[in-house]
Amino acid sequence: MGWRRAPHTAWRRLGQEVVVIDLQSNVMYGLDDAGGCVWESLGEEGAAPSAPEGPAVAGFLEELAQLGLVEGAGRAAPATPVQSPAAASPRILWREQVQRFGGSCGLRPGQGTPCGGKPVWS
Amino acid sequence: MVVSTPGYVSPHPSPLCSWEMNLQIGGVAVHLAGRSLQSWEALLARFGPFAAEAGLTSLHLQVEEEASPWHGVTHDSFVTASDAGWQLLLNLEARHALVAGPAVAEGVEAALRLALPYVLPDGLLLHAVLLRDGERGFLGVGPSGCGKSTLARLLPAHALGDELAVVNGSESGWTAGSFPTSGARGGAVTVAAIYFLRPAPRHQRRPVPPSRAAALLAQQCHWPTDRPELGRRRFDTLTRLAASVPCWALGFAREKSVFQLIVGGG
Repeated sequence: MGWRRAPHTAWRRLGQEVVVIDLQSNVMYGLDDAGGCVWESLGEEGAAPSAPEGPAVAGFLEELAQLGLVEGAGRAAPATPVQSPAAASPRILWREQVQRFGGSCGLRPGQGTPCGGKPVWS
Repeated sequence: MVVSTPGYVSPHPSPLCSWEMNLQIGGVAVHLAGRSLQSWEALLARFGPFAAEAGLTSLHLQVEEEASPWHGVTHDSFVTASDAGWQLLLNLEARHALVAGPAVAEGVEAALRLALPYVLPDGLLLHAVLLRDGERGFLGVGPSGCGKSTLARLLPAHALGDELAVVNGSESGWTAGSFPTSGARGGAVTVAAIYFLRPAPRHQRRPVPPSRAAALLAQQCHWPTDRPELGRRRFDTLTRLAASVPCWALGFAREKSVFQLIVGGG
């Protein structure tokens, strides 16, 4: 199985971590350095999928797939194998739900676009 | 501040206006227009500190004292909101809002809260107290109860606002201005440091790594979650902000000496 980053994600490396956001579920994830290297080695939508190397990387990618962050490409392509640095196990360090409009925006329920609520479209 | 002669015609689809007003809110130029001088007086009292020369407008607000002028209007890109004394209809695509009702100041503030996350090109609307030291600005970020208002009351000479701040990216760095909540002051500063606040028995400060700072900022940012492309842009903005500005966790006691600790982190 090959993998690529889901199109509804955005990400950036910040120091020793890679921060990923799922723009559909609005959840942010922090990947450790090893996980970040795996993530960076994956292709974008339309790119050749990467083939994981080793059981730790494969398990990590399965976890990302269950979260909807990566997509299986159906079959492995002859892409560059993923290298996990220093044989460390890649992992997700943290996850945070992004607030829709924060906790104290001043718009209360019933005002059309309340905190934490979906905007009301006319 | 401009009050035009009666008969001024707004450049946007609207009735005849008798006044117009230009505001500058954290780098966003807002144009207001209306007919009632009572509305103008109420808005001047509320938003006067943010008045500015007319510029390239990002958001237009039409103010009416009569309620429900848009009754029955439907459109996919419209957002509606209301509370006692005001109603608003916001067209996000056109960046145009109608605010109606006798409580025009509250209605305009609600329109700004709703619209700014959508119209900021490279910026964030953050729950934060904004402190000023000359041209440098310091953001104290956190949810209700973290100490934003306490910090502003403790340092009134330095506080531009105690609830919401508008942060904008530019070629020269990050600038911030206060959102015009009641009592907030106008003006923009260069963001020198960001503090994630919490009350503590004594002052203490420790650095927050950029990845963690990005997650904490996302928790306190008005996020247009219904528009993935805007969410992508917002993510790009806040991760760049977290990477380029020193970020700290700050526990503080209710003592003015905390200001020295704050300005030392920029």
